[in-house]
Amino acid sequence: MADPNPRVDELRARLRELGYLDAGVNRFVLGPVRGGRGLLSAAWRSSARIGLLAALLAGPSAAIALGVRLPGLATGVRDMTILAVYLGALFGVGVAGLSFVATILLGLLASRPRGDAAMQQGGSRLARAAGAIVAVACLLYLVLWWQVVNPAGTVWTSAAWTWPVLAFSTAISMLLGHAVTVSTLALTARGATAAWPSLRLPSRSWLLTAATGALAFTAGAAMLFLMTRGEERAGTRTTPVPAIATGVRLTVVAVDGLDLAFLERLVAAGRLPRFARMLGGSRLTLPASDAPDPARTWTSLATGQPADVHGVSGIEARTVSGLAGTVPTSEAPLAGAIAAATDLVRLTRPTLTTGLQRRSKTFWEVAADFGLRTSVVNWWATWPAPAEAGIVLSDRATLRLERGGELDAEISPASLYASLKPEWPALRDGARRQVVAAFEGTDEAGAAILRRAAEQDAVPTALAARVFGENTDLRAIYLSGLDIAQHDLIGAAGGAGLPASALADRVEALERYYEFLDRLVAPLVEDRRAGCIVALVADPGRSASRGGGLLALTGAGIRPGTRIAGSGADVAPTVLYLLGVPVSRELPGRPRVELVDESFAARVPVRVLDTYGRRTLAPRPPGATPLDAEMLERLRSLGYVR
Amino acid sequence: MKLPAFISSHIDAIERELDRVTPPETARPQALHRAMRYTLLAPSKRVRAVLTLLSADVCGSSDRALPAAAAIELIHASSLILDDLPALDNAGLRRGRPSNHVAHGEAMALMAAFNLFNLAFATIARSYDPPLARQLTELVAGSVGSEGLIGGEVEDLLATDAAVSFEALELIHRWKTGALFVAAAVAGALTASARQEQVGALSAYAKNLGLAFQIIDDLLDVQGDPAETGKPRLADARKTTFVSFSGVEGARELARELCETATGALGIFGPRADPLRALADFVAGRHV
Repeated sequence: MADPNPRVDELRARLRELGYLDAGVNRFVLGPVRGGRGLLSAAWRSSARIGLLAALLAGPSAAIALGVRLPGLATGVRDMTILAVYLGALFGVGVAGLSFVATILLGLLASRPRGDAAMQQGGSRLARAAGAIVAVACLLYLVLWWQVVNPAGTVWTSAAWTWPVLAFSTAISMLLGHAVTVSTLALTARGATAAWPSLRLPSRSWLLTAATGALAFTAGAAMLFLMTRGEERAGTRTTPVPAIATGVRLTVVAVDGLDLAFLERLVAAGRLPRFARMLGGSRLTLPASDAPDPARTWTSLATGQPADVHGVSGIEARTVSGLAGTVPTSEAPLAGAIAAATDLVRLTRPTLTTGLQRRSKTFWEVAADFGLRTSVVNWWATWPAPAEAGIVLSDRATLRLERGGELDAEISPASLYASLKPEWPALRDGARRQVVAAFEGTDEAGAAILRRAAEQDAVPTALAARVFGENTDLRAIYLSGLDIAQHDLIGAAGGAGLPASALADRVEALERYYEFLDRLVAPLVEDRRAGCIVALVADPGRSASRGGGLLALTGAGIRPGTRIAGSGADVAPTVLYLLGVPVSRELPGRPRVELVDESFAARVPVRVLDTYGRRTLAPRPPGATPLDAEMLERLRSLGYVR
Repeated sequence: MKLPAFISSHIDAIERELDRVTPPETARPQALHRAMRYTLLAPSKRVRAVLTLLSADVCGSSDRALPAAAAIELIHASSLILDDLPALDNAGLRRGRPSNHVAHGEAMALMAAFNLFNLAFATIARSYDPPLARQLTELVAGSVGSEGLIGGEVEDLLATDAAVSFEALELIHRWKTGALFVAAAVAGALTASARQEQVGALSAYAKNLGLAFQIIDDLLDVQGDPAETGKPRLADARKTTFVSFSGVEGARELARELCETATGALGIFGPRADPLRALADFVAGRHV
């Protein structure tokens, strides 16, 4: 039974200060200080224990935060545990280092001649200061960490997470600060030959602890607020804004490796009637993408977000030893150096980027969220295909159809796989025949390249013809063949170094590819459905010309002859606007209403909402075998990865 | 409270060892040896020496711990004789019998006390190899010296009839009682070649248990039965005790919490430390 006697409470607190009762942390940290160890030995041992505390406390919380930030990284409890170990080691070493510096500096100060008397007087204050510095540094780091691991503008929208994280960070920081104070005090006393533990430990009055905690918590919150003030927008509450029924049936034809100058020359010569038709409406020209990486570029176009937000920074990612998930590979020199170093010690290995790394929703996923019927074929980083976002034939769909076996989210809905499987040989062989016929008469070396590239376009187009339904609101297909052909024929150097005659042959072969492509997209372009709009989205791909990209619109409601410049970030909002879907404030681009005519603009006002919400990944089927090795082999044979 | 069986068997072993290392009453000078044995072999719970054996047990084995346990008990007996002298506490009753100086005279009591100290260090030197003997000597000497029994006794002496702060009282008890408790536990651990963490845990256990023991002593002084405590009630009436600060109920509560903390420190040993937990329960359950 508790004694209400206040004197007992006070005596209990004083006994704790004197190292009795539940002085667990003190005892743990001070273990190495007792005994006959020297300053250096005691300091590093004691700091190692503080580092261990930091690792145990901060490792798991950092793993959770990183798991939220990089959704493809940790795929289960096992991954989370390994990640916590890695991050725990990182935090542990950092805090132990900080603590070692603090304790050793004060210990040395105390062991100076005449340091003794000074330390008897001021040792306690200095130790508290060292603890406070470590606590503030920890809190600063943890708050910065939380700000960094959250995509721009989501720190306060996920307040349910942010407040507990701040409180936990404050508690961790104070505990570690206390541990540093205690060990510094002990080592100072040792250095000053004062009678340890006659120096009093820091007070553990609950009132003082609570007040300090509240102050630290407020400071952390204020810092987070100041840092994210520009990113957060007022009124970030999500209000349901329904889609407007525009009656538009939109077909997006995405062509990689399209050279605008080349295209216009052939269109002017009358050799590409379908492209001529697609270019006949309004045009939004786009600057060259920031990096010639198709996974990055096409994910940016599909999501309307830059790579650092959507998370797909390139074709290649890295697996971390022991983890099933991956981390993106950054092109920054420092990140590259870290990746090379971790590759060297086998901590990381290169692998392929997939949709698991993608954090932002694509325009077809947003459209599906708003109840529109969508179909997408062959777009980069679409595997694994979400179960509830219309029809998706991911970039691994043809591999799965070819290999057979159990579906692992390559095609969605799963029932579609069952119906496509028996039709697959006929579809594939038909596409191949079409390819062979297209390049008869081309010299053998060029024909081999063209056929290989053309198969990459013909097969998805055949699949699209099979799955694109009459009533689909949004149909999208990505075609990589032109980029592959151009890259193989002309090279990344734009044909530099090739003899003039050889270059002329290759340019001619490429022209034949354009013509093949023109015929291939005919069923998509000659869409006769009411309200149909065709959008050609093009990027110069990996060619050395590095000309700009393009969004060309034709069809009902499009203002013909419009020529404006924009950015790749405008593509996704413009596509969504055409479908009557409100545009999220999170998108950096804007819908380009200049491209539509007045009646369309009047009928479909631009409406905004705060967010499309976070992208959630469906759990992978148990026991599935992802086609990673096959995909890697295909991309290698097509020249995407070395 | 009845002694647990394992404590009784340890007490028997310790008393046999004390009898073995102490010169017999028949050896010259007989008066000195009689005086030494009078206090040393008087009935006692041997809590400190038992702590040494149990600490060694929990760290592996108590096979080599008996001489160290005897040394701790020799030191303790010596301190009791000195503590009771007229110049210090001037206590007439100890362990239910007249104090040593009452029974054998002041001069013989002084000689007996010094020879018990001397015998403690000799026992360590004779029983252990040099590295361990040196460690144990340093440990025991530390618990006796300026920051141990002697320092505590001096602080206590100067504090009699004076207002004493809580921190000063704790210092007196830490040096006078706690230091030997900690030395007893650590000595046992050292004889069993314990790891640093084990030494740390036992040290924390003994520190908390030592203060609990002292607080209960203060309570016994106020409320105990002289037949059981072996000294008259209110023998320490002139002194400030924990009871003066917290009251009887508060002191009882703090002693219980200290014993709980002591057992909590034994977590790393698991169920092997159950005898040490029983010892803490025994200390906490002394008749108060």
